Amino acid sequence: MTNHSASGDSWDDLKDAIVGLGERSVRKSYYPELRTKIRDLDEQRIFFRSTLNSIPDGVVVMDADGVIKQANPALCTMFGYTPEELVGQPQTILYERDGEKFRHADFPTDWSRRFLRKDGAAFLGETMENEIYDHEGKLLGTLELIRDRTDQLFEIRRQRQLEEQLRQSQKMAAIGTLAGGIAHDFNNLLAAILGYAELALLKLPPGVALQREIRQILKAGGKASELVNQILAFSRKETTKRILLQPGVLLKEVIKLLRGTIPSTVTIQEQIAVTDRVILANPTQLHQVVMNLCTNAFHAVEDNGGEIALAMEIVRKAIPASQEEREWIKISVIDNGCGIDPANIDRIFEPYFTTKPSGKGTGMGLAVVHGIVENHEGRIFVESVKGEGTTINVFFPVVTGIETPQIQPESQSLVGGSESILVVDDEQMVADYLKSFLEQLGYTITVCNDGNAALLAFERNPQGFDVVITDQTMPGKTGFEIARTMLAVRPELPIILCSGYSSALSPERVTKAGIREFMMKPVSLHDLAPVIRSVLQEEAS
Amino acid sequence: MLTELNIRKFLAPEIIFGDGAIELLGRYVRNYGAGRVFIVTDQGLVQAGLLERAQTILAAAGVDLVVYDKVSPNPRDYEVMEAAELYHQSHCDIIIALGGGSPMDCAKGVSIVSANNNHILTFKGVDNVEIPGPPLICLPTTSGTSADVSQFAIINNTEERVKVAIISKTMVPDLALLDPGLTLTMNRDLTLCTGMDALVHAIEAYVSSASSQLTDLHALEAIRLIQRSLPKVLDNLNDVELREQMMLASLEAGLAFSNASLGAVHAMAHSLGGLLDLPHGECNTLLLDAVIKRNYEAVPERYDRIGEIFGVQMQGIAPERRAQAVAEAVLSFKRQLGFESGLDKRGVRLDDITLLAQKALADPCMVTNPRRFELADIEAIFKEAL
Repeated sequence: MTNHSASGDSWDDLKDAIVGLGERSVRKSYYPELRTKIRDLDEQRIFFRSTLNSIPDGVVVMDADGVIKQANPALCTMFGYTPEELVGQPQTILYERDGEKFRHADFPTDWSRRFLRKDGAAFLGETMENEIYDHEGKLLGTLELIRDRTDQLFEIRRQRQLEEQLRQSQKMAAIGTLAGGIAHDFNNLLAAILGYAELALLKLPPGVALQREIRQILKAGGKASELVNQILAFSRKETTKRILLQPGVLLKEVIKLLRGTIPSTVTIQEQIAVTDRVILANPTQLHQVVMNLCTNAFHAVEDNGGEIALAMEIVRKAIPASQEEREWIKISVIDNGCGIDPANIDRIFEPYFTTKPSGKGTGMGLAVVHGIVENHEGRIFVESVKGEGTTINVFFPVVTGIETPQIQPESQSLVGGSESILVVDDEQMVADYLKSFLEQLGYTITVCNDGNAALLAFERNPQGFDVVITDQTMPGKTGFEIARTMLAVRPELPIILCSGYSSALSPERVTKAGIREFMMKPVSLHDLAPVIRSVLQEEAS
Repeated sequence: MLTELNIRKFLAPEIIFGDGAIELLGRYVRNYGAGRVFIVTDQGLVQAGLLERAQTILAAAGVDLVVYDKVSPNPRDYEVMEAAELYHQSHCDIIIALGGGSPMDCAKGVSIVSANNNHILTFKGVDNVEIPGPPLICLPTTSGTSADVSQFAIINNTEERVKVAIISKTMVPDLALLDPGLTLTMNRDLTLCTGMDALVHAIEAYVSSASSQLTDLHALEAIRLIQRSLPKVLDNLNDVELREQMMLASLEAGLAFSNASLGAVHAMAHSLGGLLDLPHGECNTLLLDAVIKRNYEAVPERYDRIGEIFGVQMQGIAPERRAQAVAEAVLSFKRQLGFESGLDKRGVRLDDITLLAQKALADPCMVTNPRRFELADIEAIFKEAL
C-alpha cells in the first residue's frame, strides 16, 4: 500500500478518505492559514504598537513627504495633541518657526532644537532623526525621537547660578579673612593708643590746653576703632551677644528714626507683618543692617525723590545654598531710585567698593551688612533694575521652641568700686593702662603678663580676687585656659575674657565654661566699667 | 465506515463551461488578486499556439506571468520540483495549468510543494497534504483526464519507476475553465485515448463501492455521451459541437469519479503506465473488458445497465453469460473506434505480470473496486489482457 498515513487503518477508513470522507479530507481552504497569518499579523501589530507606545521619549513617524503618519503617546503628551490631530499634519507643526535662532552652549543645534506645543508654548528638546527604508531600499519616511530637555535646561541654569553664588561667597570669604587679619593687629595697636590717650586725659588737671589734642586723638582713635569693628563684623570674626528678638519692633524704631531725618520728598512705606516668630540676633547689628540698607535706599532716591518701603513677612521656602525648606523672616528694603548698574551688582558687598562720591560713603556699609547677615546664618539677595529701583531681601532663620526674652536695658554709667581685680595681659602697655584706669575707679589691681604668673598669683590666694579680667591670646596659656583652671577652684569667680581676634571661641563656648563676660578688643574703658559692676552684682545676688 | 453507512460527499470546483470560456481567464486571475501568474504547460501546447493565446489574454488583463513548459507526458517528480522552484523564485502567487492531464497534475504538484515546502513524493497516498496550495485554475485541452475537477495527481517516481497517486481534497482546483475550442488541437489518437479514458472513469465510478446517486447521475450520463459522440468526433475532429459533447462527458465522468473514486482498471493502468510509460488512456482501454469480466458478479445490475447503454439487450441473456456480453460490447466499441488490443503488442512480457500485479494491488484505486481482488486475480486479468 502506498498510502503511508493510513497504514494500519482499516480498509473502510481508507475508502472514506479516498472519497473525501476521511478525518483529514478537507477541501482546499485558505481560512485556517489566513486566520493564522492574520493572527500573526495582529500579534505583530500589537507588539510593534505596544513597543512604540512604551517608549518614554516622543516618537513621530513621517512619510517621505514629511507628513505625520504616527505618533506615540509620549509625544502626544509632550505636545498636547491627540494622535488624530497630528496624523496628516506636516512635521513642521511640531517645530518653533524661528527655532533655529535658539543658541545654547550646552544644547548644540545638531541634536537639539526648540519645539512648539499645541498651546503655543515652546520648549527645548533633544532630537534624533533617522530615515526608514523598506527591504528593497526604498525610502518610506523618517522617524524622529524627541526628548523634552526643559528640566535639564533648568537644572543647568540653576547649577550655573549656584556656581556663581559659590564663587561670590568664596571671594567674600577671602576678603573677610584678609580684612579680619589686618583688623586684629590693628586692634591691639588701637587698644594701646586709646588706652594711653584716655589715661593721659585722666591724668591732666582740668582746663589744661593739651586736653583738646588728646580728645582729638581719642576721637580719631574712636573712629578707627569703629572702622575696625565694621571690618570685623564683615569678616564674621566678631563675636557678639545674640538674643531672641522680634525684628518687627526694631524695624518700627528704624522707620521712626528715618521719618525724623529723611526729607519729605521721599515717602516711606511700611509693611510689617504681625508675628510672634523670633530670630536669634544681636539687636545692635540688626539695627545696623536695616539702617545701612535704608540709608542706601535713601541715597538712591535722594536726588529725584521717591519711595522707600520697608517690609517684613514670614516665608516658608528653600533658599539656594541651604536647600532645606524652613521658615524665614524676610526683611525687604525696596526703593524706586536709580538702581544698580548690572556691571557692579556682583561687587556691591566687597569692602571699600562704593559708587558714591568721595566723602559720602566708606564702601563698608554693604560689606558689613553682608558679614552680619552671613554671621546670623541669614541670606541676602539683591534685585535691581537700572533706573527702576532696587530691592534687597534679607532672610533670617526663624528660631522655634524658645520663649522670647526681654531685651536688657543697657547701663551707661561709669561706676567704680573697691574690689580686688586681677588683670592678665601679655602686652604690658595694655595691662598698664587697664591698671591705671581701674585704679582711678577705686579698684585694687594686680597685673600678670602671662597665664602661669596669673595662676600662681591665684593659687597663692584664691579668695584674694573679686574679678579676673584676662586677655585671650597670650604666649603659653590662653585666657580661656586659665579661666577654666580658676573656675575649677572657684566656680563663682567672675571672669571677663577679652579678645581681639579669636575664631576658636564662640560666645556659647565661653558661657558654657562659666566665664561671665566676653568683650571684644579694643575694650573701651567706658564699656568695661559697667561690665565689672554687673558681674560683681550678679555674684553678690 | 461512513461510506459503508451510505454517507457521501460531493465536491466540485467552480466550473465555467463553453466555447470561448478561455476569454474569462483574465477576469478570474484578477479576482484571485494575482500578482504574478505561473503557467504550467508542455511543448505541444506551446506549438499549438494555445500558450500564446493565454498569454495575450493575461497581458490584456495586465498580469505578469512566468511559464514552465517542460512538462513531459506522465509528469515526473523532478519536473514538479523544478517547476515549484521556479514558482518560488519568481514570486508567483497563482497557478494556471494549460494542457492535458500531465500539465494539470504537475501544476497540482507545484501548488502543494510550494505551500508545504516538501518534496512531491512525501504527499503520496491519501490526505497527506497539510497546507492547501495557492489558487489553481485548470484550462484542459483534452477531454478525458478530468484532472481539472479531480482530487488526484499522478506523478512518476522516476527512481522507482512507478506512478504514485496523490489524493487530497486540497488539490481539487479552484476553477475549471472548460473551453471545448481548446480541444480542437487534439489529433485522432489523442482524441481516442482521452475519450476512452473518460469512458473508463465513468464506468469505474459507476461500479465503485463508494458510488452514490449523485455520482451515478454523472457517470451514466458520461457513458451515454461517450458511446454516442466519441465515434462521431473521431471522424469529425474539427466539429466543435461534438468536441463540446466529449468535454461535457469528460466533465461528468470527472465529477463522478472524483467523488466515488475508481477501481481495478485504474489501479492496474497506473502500474502498467509506470512500467511502459504508455499514455494513461491507452492503458485503461487495454484492461477495461478483462476487468469487467472479473468484476461483473459484484455489481451485476450496474454492469447490465452499462451493457444496455452499449446496445446489449441484457434481459434476453442468461445471467451466467451476461458478464461476457458486457465485456464483449465494450470490446466491440473499442474495435469500432479502431483500437487495437493486446498488452503483448505494447511490450509487456509474461515475466512482468507478477510485479505489475503487486504494484496494482497496492494502488489506492483498488480500494473502491466493487470486488476485493487477490494478487492471483490481478495476475489473471493481466494475462488475459496480454
